[in-house]
Amino acid sequence: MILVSAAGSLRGVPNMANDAATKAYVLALGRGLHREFARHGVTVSVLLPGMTDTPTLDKLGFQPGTSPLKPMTVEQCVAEGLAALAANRATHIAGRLNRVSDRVIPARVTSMMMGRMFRQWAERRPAQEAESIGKTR
Amino acid sequence: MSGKPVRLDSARFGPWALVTGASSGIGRGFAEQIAASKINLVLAARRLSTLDELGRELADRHGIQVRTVGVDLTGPGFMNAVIEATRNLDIGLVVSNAGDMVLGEFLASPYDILIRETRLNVDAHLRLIHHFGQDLARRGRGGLLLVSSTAAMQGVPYSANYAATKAYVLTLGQALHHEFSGRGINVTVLLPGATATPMLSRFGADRTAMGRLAMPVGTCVADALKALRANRAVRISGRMNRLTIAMTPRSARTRLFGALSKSMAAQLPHSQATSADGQVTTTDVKI
Repeated sequence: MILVSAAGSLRGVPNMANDAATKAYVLALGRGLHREFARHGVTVSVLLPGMTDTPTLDKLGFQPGTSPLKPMTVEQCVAEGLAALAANRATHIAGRLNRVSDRVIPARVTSMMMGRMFRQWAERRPAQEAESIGKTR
Repeated sequence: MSGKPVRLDSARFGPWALVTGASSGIGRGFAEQIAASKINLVLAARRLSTLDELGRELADRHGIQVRTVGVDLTGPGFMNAVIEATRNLDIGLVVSNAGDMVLGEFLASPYDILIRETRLNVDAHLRLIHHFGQDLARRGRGGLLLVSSTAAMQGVPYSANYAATKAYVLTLGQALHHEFSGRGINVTVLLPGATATPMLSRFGADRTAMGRLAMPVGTCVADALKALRANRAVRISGRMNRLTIAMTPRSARTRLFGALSKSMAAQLPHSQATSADGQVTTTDVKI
């Protein structure tokens, strides 16, 4: 079983508060079930993608060229998720850069940087879209 | 109550405060200490008679006004009841505390019980914060205290959904701490560890090592109110809990908390997963 959460769920994300919180729910649920399901022979892995090249990213207001970060391809993200499942990992952050920054950058700093970024994005997109965003990343 | 209540500035966090889940445990502790700061109270919980009794006691002792609302925060339209009870009141502090814990193996837990837990531990917080956050932002001052749990810091087998709902509250509060800081609103998430509450007793944990280590409610609440006053984003109650969490790797905590949940679940009278409150009653709801 692969549960898709988001790298942003590792900390609070201002201007994406509820979204990050729901992803934290998924992450914690998966971590608990990883152990509970093990005795049934079922592997549970939680995949935490960072910025990934999906239609949602455009909807959120991402503009290529304005960001120093390059989105990960869907293929690589999916491949990492499947590899994590095969290796029976409870959680996996997609992308080496995302994994490194999770380790070395304090949560408070990441939280503030992401919050600022999402505010800029939100200002870019039309108001009606801002209200109907259903997904993140 | 153990120790002295923490004083809050009633000009900043008053004149009224709302406390959910105020009939017992940590919620009741919040009501008692906030009352000592001469802040009027709206108390919400399912058991109206218990609330009324507590309300009269606090009103007499501290010379404050108290309103009570008997409401099941998992029920449809609960928000209407809360809005009705707080109409025309200048609320400066919201303690979103009500919560419940379902213990037991995930696959053995009926969906109805898990979704009820999720409504209370996720949706009720979301609705309350969304509604009262607007009011607080208009005032430009006040506080929001969200009660999560140390279970939020890692996954917990045998209370997987509970830990997940508490992770939701923690992450939401962390983000709102930043978002609301420019609006003069303090946001603090409280992560209590084992605390001497009726919930702990209902699980039989008061007779175990966990019960002996449990923190008094008054100390836990005082810790939270101090953190709110200082506008800390997150506060784990108790030095021992803070130390344990800081020193233990997350995967080890998952095993440890999982073992505790499993042993508590095994002591329940029926082997099936049960919530602390047992049966749901909605007869108190006034809309």
